[in-house]
Amino acid sequence: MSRKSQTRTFQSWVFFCYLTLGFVSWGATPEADTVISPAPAPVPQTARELYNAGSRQLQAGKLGDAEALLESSLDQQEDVVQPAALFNLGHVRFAQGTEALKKSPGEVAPQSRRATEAGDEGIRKATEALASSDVAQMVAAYWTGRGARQEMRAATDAVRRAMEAHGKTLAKWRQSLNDFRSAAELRPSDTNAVRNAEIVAQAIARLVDSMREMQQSAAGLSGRQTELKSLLAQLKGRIPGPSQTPGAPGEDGEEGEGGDQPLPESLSGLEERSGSGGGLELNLSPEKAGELLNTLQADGKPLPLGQDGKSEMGKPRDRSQRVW
Amino acid sequence: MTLAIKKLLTLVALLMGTPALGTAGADLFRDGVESYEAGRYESAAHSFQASLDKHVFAGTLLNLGLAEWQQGHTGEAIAAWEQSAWLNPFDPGARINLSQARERAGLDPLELTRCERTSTWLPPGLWAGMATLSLWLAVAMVTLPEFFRRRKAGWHQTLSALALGLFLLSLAPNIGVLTRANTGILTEKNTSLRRTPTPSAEVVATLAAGESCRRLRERGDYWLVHTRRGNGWIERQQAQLLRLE
Repeated sequence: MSRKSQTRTFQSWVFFCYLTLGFVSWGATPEADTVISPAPAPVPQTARELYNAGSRQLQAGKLGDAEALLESSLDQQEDVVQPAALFNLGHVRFAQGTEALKKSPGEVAPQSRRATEAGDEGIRKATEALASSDVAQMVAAYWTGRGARQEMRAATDAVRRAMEAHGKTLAKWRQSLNDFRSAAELRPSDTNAVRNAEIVAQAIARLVDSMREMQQSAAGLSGRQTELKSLLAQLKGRIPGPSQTPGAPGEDGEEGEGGDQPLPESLSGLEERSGSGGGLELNLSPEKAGELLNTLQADGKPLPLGQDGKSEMGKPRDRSQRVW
Repeated sequence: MTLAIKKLLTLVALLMGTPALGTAGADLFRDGVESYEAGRYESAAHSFQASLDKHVFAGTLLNLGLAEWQQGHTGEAIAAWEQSAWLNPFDPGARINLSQARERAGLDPLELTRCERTSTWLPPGLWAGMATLSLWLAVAMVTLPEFFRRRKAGWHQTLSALALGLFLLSLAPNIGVLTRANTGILTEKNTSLRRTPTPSAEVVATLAAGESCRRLRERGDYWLVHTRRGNGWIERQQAQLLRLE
């Protein structure tokens, strides 16, 4: 074959290739306009995949999903993955507890203190009025007492809600503590897990302290409410008819106990209370709250108390471990 | 038939035909029976247990189960009867006791595969012996006539085929024996089924004494078990395997 014909053959092949590429690109152009849906993300199956997916959810702040995935990873019972999954699960549950704490009605101690003072004032005035038998003083003491009772009810309700939120947080933090401890037990060289367990234990101790304070204030409020209720009932019995306050029988919360049927004019008072949470009694009794606190540690060891309470609550370090 | 009547029958039967325990074992067994009859169930259980340490017999296990049952130890009683039935499947006493005890405690019977169910027809040693003998018989019938320079007869072939068939049939029960050996009974009340093999592990379920479990693997002092409530870890001393180790 001559050199010229070789060159011509080569050129023919080059031309053919260009032509083919042209057709292919022409054929591909319309397709490019269509939106190709991305391939669905593979469902994590193995312990490692579940762990990685859970860690990603933790980083994204999706705590519920992260918890479910990490639990599934643990359930696969793969020895290599379990310590890391437990470590991250500890973080997830601590964060969940913190979230629950944010939903609590905030600082209830000042409100509780104010309500206690108002209750003391109401009791003092009612006692003095009963001793003096002065109608005007009794009416004034009655109104003061009613105001104090309402304030105490509101404070009791706030304490109850705070106790509920703290209880949820306590449950989550206990799980978190066990997760960090388990991670450390499975991999004793994991000092981060040990340190995090210590930090969570300290946070739990502070939480328990605050719950104890709330429990005590709730018990104090409850006692004052009972005393004031009794005094107000005595005052009401001694105030003559024309001085009786409108709607009084229905607003003292005595209709259920005294057996008196509510009068038509007192119905507004009943509706108002039912809308604001019924009788406003503290659902969590001091004994029950005590039991809740006593169940804090399964091993029965006392938690380190005596935290100053002013310092910022510690957070576990090293948010999450690496994604494999 | 109530447990009490069966108990007496078992004791009488065992006293009449006390197996060859050896002097020490027999004395302990008799002590156990005497204690049981005197109502000292704890002492009886100790004696039967000590007798078992010398020699393991199905009858001793049956009596141990009765002594444990009288003390309210459901898990230990069921485990002892299961072990008794494992050693001697022909004795109906253990099976009747098991079914009654499970009915009273509201427990389900063991979950067994087909191979395992078949393996309960005979004692485990018999299945193993049958497999060994049948295999060697088949091999002998094929090779020995040639070895002794004799002509292979028809009955040689027939016996070899039968032995081979028996060997093949005994394979499934033998596999059943092997897998059933990992089955156990929970002896502790309210056994915690843990997510991880650690003391601080999250408890995924609480299991009653007497529930059955299947050991999947071990790690330290923990067993990974399969139960009706799912898979999880239990402490080694919280369960007893059916096969005595």
